[in-house]
Amino acid sequence: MNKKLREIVGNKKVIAVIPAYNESKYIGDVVRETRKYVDEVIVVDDASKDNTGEIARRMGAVVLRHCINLHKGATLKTGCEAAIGLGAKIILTLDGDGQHNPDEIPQLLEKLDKFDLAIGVREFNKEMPFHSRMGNKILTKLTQLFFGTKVSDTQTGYRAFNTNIYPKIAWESKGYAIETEMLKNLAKHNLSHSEVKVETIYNDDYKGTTPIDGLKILANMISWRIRG
Amino acid sequence: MIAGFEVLAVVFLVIMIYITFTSYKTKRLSKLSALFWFLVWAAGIFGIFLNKKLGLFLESLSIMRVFDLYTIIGFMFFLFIVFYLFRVVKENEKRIEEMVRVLAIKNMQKGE
Repeated sequence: MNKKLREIVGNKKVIAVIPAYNESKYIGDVVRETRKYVDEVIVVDDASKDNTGEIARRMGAVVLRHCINLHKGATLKTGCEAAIGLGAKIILTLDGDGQHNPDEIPQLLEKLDKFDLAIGVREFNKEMPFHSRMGNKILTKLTQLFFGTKVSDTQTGYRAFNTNIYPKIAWESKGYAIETEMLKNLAKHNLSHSEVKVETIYNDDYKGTTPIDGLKILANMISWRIRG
Repeated sequence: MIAGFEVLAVVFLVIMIYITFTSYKTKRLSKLSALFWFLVWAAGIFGIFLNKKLGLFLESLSIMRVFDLYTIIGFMFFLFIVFYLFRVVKENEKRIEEMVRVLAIKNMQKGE
């Protein structure tokens, strides 16, 4: 971590948590670039069939490996609990597929001085595949409607938060509903958040959230709304 | 006189009694479970042979035949089993997730 960034976060330990499944192509670069801005990088290998975990470890990341595939929500939960166990005061989450530019980490960390959670929001432009663009727009509108949040990109996994709020925002979702559940919990506990505009990067049109995942997220949202 | 499908039902129930008995003998079912299933199958057979005697009871439920009663009970049982299995699967999913996550944290590998 450079000196300027250290001044921003003070003596708080910053740990990046990266969930990864079959990301051998990108994980090396993601870990190398992320390490410049944080104290430690944790990669949670969600039972990848390639050597994602091995590459991440060689690039200096702490690696946790699920022996069976549990999906994103459970993977992030493992990573966050490990990070807290390693003494993290700030947790930064980003995807392992190179969707998030690590050079934008300082802007997210800067926000944590005044806010509980910082969210890296993408522009829904042509860089984003059509089905993802539509899905993101619909889910964002519905999340705003259901839970009263004002976040303009609810499905982004590029986030940073102070670990003291973790018990309040902790999630049960195993899959891609984690991002929405975190925001639902944030609104429920009246915690503050701030947005940072980040680059929209899509390296692979067919990875990540599928329309079926979108429907599952919607079903979860309805269930949370009913349960209150 | 019992109808053809009722004969089939009796044959099925007798086979189930045999399977329950062998499961008990090979210790795949406990004494209590075996007794429960014996009673279920036996009640089925009695129901078929006491068709006429059950008439009044069936009439009060607006059911025409004993076999129809079995179909309704069977469907209710099927739904119960689906619900029960759903609950068991969810519980096991949670247990497995917890176990996998604990193992991952325990076997943490430091970077080079």
